[in-house]
Amino acid sequence: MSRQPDEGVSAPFEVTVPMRPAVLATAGAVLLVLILLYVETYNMTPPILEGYPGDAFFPRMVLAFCIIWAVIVVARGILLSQAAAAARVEAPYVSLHWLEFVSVIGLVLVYALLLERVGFEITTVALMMALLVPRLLAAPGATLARAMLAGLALSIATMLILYAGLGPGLKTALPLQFLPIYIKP
Amino acid sequence: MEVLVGHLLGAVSALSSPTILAIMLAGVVIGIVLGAMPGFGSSQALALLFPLTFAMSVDQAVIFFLAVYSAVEYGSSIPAILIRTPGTGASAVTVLDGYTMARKGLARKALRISLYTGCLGGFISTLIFIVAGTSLGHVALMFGPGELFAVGVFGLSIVASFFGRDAARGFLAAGIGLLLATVGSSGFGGMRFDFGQDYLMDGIPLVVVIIAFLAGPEAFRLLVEHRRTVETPEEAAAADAGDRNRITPQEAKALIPTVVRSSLIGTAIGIVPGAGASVAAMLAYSEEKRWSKRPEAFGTGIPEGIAAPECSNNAVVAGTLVPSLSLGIPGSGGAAILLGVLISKGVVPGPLLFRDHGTFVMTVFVGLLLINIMMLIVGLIGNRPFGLVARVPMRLLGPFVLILVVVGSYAYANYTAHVIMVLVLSAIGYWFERVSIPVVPIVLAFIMGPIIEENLNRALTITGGDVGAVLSRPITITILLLALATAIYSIRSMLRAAVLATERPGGNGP
Repeated sequence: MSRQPDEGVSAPFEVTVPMRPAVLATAGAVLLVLILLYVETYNMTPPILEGYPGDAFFPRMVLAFCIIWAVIVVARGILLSQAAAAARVEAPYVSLHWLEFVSVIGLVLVYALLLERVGFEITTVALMMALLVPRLLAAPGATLARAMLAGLALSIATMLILYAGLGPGLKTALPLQFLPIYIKP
Repeated sequence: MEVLVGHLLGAVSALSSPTILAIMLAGVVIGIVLGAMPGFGSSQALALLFPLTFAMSVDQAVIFFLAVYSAVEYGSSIPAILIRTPGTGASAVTVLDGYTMARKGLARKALRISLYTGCLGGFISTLIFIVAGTSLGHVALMFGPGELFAVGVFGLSIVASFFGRDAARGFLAAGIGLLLATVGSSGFGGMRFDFGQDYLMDGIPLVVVIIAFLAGPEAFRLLVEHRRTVETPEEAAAADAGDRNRITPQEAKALIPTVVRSSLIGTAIGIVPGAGASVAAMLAYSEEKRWSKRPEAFGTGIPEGIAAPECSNNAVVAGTLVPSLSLGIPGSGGAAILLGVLISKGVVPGPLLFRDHGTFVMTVFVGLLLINIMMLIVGLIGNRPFGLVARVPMRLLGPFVLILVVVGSYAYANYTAHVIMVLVLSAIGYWFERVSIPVVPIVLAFIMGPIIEENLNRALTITGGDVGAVLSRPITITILLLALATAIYSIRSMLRAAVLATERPGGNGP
């Protein structure tokens, strides 16, 4: 069903890195954040009565627990890397189509920022169009005009279904521009 | 007995309402449709539908969610059988015999076996709970704050160790979930990890965590990886396989022992927090193969090979409700969301639920019986059209999932910050999944975090801050020792896998 990339070979706009450094970098970054958060617990209010739990009691326990496991993940990544790589206990490479990844994040950020200013109707249709048209174009024999038309129809239908379900259906206060408002925020 | 009959009558009365029946039907249809979409598990489906429950009463919301939860398990077997793409991990085992049977031109027979045995599994499991569930609730009443803290820790130890191939990453993920639960106002009047930001002062809402770590990464996966999805003509043709598919009485009779065994396995696995439908399906399949007189035929498209995993993964639903309702420990991602619905409606899961809301508990289980009957009817009517859903190209599915994620997180409180939170956490969740750090323990731990913290704080306050007094209670110490044993077992398994890896260079690993 799925076509996997060749090991270690990146497609355009795709970054492929060996799994071990990816896991190590991720666990290392998590460990750093956990240590900073542990330091942050010393800024929390101390308990009113000595010996009783206070604001920082539970977070410190959890952070200590997390730090121990993060250290284990990092240590295993360093010490057992050769063996794990030889035995292929997990995919040897992790790849990420960074352009798609960044595009999705960017589009949702723009959507979130414009939603209340421009209105639910226009932003929703625009976001759906931006996502659907390139994917419709990927179909064999697709043309830009057809993809735009189909994308627009699907986007408007999606917006109307969401509006009907959340607006009149569940009385949710959506930031509407021209469709009827059923509840004031 | 009198109490049981009283609760039963109350449940039947509540469930005879046309609104509840309509909601149940909607849940079954939506659940089958979502389950039939490749990549949609019960957790993702329930996370997406969470906002729909805002306007429902507690009975309606729970029945709706149970209908979706049960139907997703059946729906996920449709793409598993037709195009070798399991909708959920639990249906991965169904591929072995289901897809093989479909390739022989018996796709609809495979779908029917999956439907009948799935419904029977759910039915038997629910009956077991109706008979024994109340007793379990009474046992749970013996639990105080210290014991509940220990139960929470035990649940976490199982949850973390059951996800992913690396227990260390599972425990790390569970810890991250616990940490996220500490953000915002503490129970002592102070603030934690808010960094002066208004949107963090109330903490991270449960709905944000559920959408961000379950539905969000799936949306990213569908959108970012859409270029890799190519359906072959053979796979598409398999969905149109012939209609000469009746299940003979002999075949049905031969499947009875399989259904009984797999239902019991599914119910038992469901009761263990964190085990879930995937484990149940795998265990039922391997047990069925062990009991079979023709083990060599498994994998060649035989009815038992479909019945065992399908029956057990549906039986898990009722089993999962035992720890969820009686102890407040979610047995799976789906149960975690269900608990989220209960909590958001002001119903506190735990031992007192059985005593104070007996009719509600009975409504849930009688409702499950009805849901299974309804699923059977809907499944039979929609056998062919449901199959068409599985053929939605994955590259087109992504945008629809993303817009549901974004609009759902905004609609929760009309707050843009929640959309940004979901976006950031979803991106992190997607990357975590790419590097095999499981995200489901994050959600489960987030749900259990407040339960663990509140009970620990309460127990310490009662004993004047004496940790020894809290831990020395017999039930508490027993459960904590069990948690320790589970953690040690997980670590030993992890180390053994590492040793095997070094001894078998170039092998395929465990």
